[in-house]
Amino acid sequence: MSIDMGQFYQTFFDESAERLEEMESLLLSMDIEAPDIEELNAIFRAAHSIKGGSGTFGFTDMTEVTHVLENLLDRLRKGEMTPSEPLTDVFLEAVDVLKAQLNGHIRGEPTAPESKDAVCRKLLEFSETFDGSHSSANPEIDNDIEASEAIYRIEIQPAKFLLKQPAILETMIEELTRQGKLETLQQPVIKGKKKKTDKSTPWVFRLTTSTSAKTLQETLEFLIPPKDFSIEHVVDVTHPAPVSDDDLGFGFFDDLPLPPPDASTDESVETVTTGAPSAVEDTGFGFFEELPLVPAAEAPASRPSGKPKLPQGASKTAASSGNGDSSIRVSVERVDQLINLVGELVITQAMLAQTGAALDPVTFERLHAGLAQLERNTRDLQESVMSIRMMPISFVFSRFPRVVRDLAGKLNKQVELVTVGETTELDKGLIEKIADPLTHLVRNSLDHGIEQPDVRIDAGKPAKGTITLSASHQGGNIVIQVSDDGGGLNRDKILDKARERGLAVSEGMSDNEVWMLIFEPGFSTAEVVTDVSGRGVGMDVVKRNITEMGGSVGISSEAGQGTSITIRLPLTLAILDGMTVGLGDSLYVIPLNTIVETLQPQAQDIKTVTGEGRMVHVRGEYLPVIALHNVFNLATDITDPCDGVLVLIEAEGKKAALFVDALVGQQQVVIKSLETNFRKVVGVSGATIMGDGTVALILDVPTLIKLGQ
Amino acid sequence: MAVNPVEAAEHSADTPIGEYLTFTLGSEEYGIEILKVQEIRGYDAVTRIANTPDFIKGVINLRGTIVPIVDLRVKFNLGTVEYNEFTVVIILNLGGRTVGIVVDGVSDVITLLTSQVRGVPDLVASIDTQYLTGLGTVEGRMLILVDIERLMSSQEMALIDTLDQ
Repeated sequence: MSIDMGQFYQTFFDESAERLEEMESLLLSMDIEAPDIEELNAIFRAAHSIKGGSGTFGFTDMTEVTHVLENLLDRLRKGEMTPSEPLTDVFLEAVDVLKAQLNGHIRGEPTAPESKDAVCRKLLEFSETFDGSHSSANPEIDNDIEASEAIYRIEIQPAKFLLKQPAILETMIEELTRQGKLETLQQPVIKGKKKKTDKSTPWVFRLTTSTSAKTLQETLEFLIPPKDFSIEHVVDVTHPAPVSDDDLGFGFFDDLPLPPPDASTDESVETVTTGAPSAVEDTGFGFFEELPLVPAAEAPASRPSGKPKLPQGASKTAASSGNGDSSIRVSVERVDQLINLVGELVITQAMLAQTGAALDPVTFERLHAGLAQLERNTRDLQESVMSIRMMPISFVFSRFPRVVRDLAGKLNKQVELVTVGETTELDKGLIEKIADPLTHLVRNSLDHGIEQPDVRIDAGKPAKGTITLSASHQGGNIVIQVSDDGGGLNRDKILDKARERGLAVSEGMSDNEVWMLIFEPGFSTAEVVTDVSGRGVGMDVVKRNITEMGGSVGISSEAGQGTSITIRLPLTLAILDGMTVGLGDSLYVIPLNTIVETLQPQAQDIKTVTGEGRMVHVRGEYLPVIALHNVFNLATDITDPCDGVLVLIEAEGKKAALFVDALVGQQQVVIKSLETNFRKVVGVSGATIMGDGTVALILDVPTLIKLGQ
Repeated sequence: MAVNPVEAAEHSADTPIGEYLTFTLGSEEYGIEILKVQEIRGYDAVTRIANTPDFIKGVINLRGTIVPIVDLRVKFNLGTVEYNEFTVVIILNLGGRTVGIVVDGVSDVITLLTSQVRGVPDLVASIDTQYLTGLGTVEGRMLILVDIERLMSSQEMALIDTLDQ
């Protein structure tokens, strides 16, 4: 191959992944009873573009699946088939197979053909089941004359998307030219400076071909929604109508608004309309007459299938056809680079501000004003740059309708998923990391929370349970909540289980403390271990993942009313609430969410075991004292815990007292990776830059606790 | 002390093999490819990192990026190790990683010709000869040409994660 296809592959992968997501969400939101034709068209178009793309790049496995899928979708949108629950299931399965295939191609290792064959077979089965009803529903398509030359009049409405993508029209003309002799009889006029296309005039073509109307129809449907075009069988060349076809052709096709001679409206004119087979009852007579009579300008409006949105979209179309898309695709790397540059700017600004503050405000009034302005501008700039990385949480939420649907089916439960605040934005990095913990929580709610329909009815609740996913901003945090209206947590059962596992529990524990027990490793109160949940792996992983992101988890639950799990996350991964502590002449940052309390111990609280291993006695607990200067081999004057400060830290369920020289202050710090240019350092999770430009290390609390043991 | 460009041009039969930044460590003169050098700056505000070899002085904030600083004088036991306003750090850009090295002093940028470069004999030194690309001769002085990228990513520098296990 002479052209390097590599750069196009990535585009194809990105676009196909997006289209598959789109197909999935459309399939899930589709109303089985009354499917929206627009939605079906959108699904069809998505399948078709994937088919086209995969064909171009030689991914034949994807082409095969999309081809079968597309055929079925096409019949759906033409009303030849009715959507049904099992059909949607097969479609979803096909989407899954396509996703697997796409991922296979991305990794360069094609997937096994078994799943593909299976899903194709299922799709074909549906297609065959519906074949009977299909032929009776659209007799006019089956009755057309094959293999004899005929003239067709093809009329295409200048719908919005066609004007935006002239390429579609070009492809179509190319296709038609291949079928036979194509003449353009009329096309929309392009008016004015802005090249505004006159939307009232349709494209009209005359095609002389031996291809059947049905095939033509299918060719066009690949490109244009059926409601936007019509094919009229004008005359059969091989079986000429009483009037000579040349005369007929001219009289008919001249775009003069004259009624055609009556002679031409005989049997030789057939109308094929899609989506509205009933229109054929008129044998084309009334329909045909109406066309030339109505002035061209009113034609689209008089069409029952014409787009209702047409008038309001008119000006918008003209503008957007020139500007193209309103969003651009930028690699995350570039955005991160931008964020780093702005970060540097903020630090420089802070240095200038510090230097400026030392100068006399009267003499340097203008300088001070300028610095204040600079500070505001940099802050605004930083905010808007950070917002580029922000994505709406709907990216995560959108996967749950599928999860809930599949799982509810498996468990024979009736569940409705409600999502609130999908537009809440959070950092792209967080979006990626929150997906797994959330899936765990939703599955748990479905499996343990929501009861079986009969149990629910006995309890006086509707048979259909509700799981609510909500997201919102609260202060500097994102709060994500997973709540269900199920049976709630069972306090006694959890306490029993905890005792069984040898955890220290008492009857006097508050509800909150009891609920937090379910985050202990290996803790599950499910009576039956299912393949969904119940093995007790999960909740502790959920908690660990969220803590790693710098967030926290809380539970509230009421017996019989349901359970609600609340996740709090910082706005971005890049910022951490920290406590700065001093040790010798250096500063360290301890993540605030790991700090329980800080204290200055009395001499009698410090105990030793065999003369070493110091411990501190706090509220009845003995905690190991970890001297940071020993861990880091640093020289400091303060070696007695009573002269310094003990910071009680907690991570992964273990507590320890970290002995440092002094507390310096609490502040938000920007996390910088040490590993970009260096390597991982034991006991340090990252670094940050302090106000004066020096580097302070952020402590890795879980590792420190392990080191202390 | 620089090579006179006119003088260099006289050896027109020779092809230049590249530009080198020369620096001193003790009484020895070293040369590294100029394209690997990002900038030269003073030594200041280095944050020490615990439990690292003593030649790793710590990390600095280089306009928002955390950059480790290696003192080659300590590493190779050369020169006088003191840190003052004349201490020089060469910031290197090595295949996407940024690293700073402390040297005694930066001398010059020179263009070396093929005729000026000789192979490295086998010898015992604290720099393994595998990191040396050649020995250059400039006005009677010997220039030790170092493959700085290989040296800094070597295991003994302990700068990169995968190698320290």
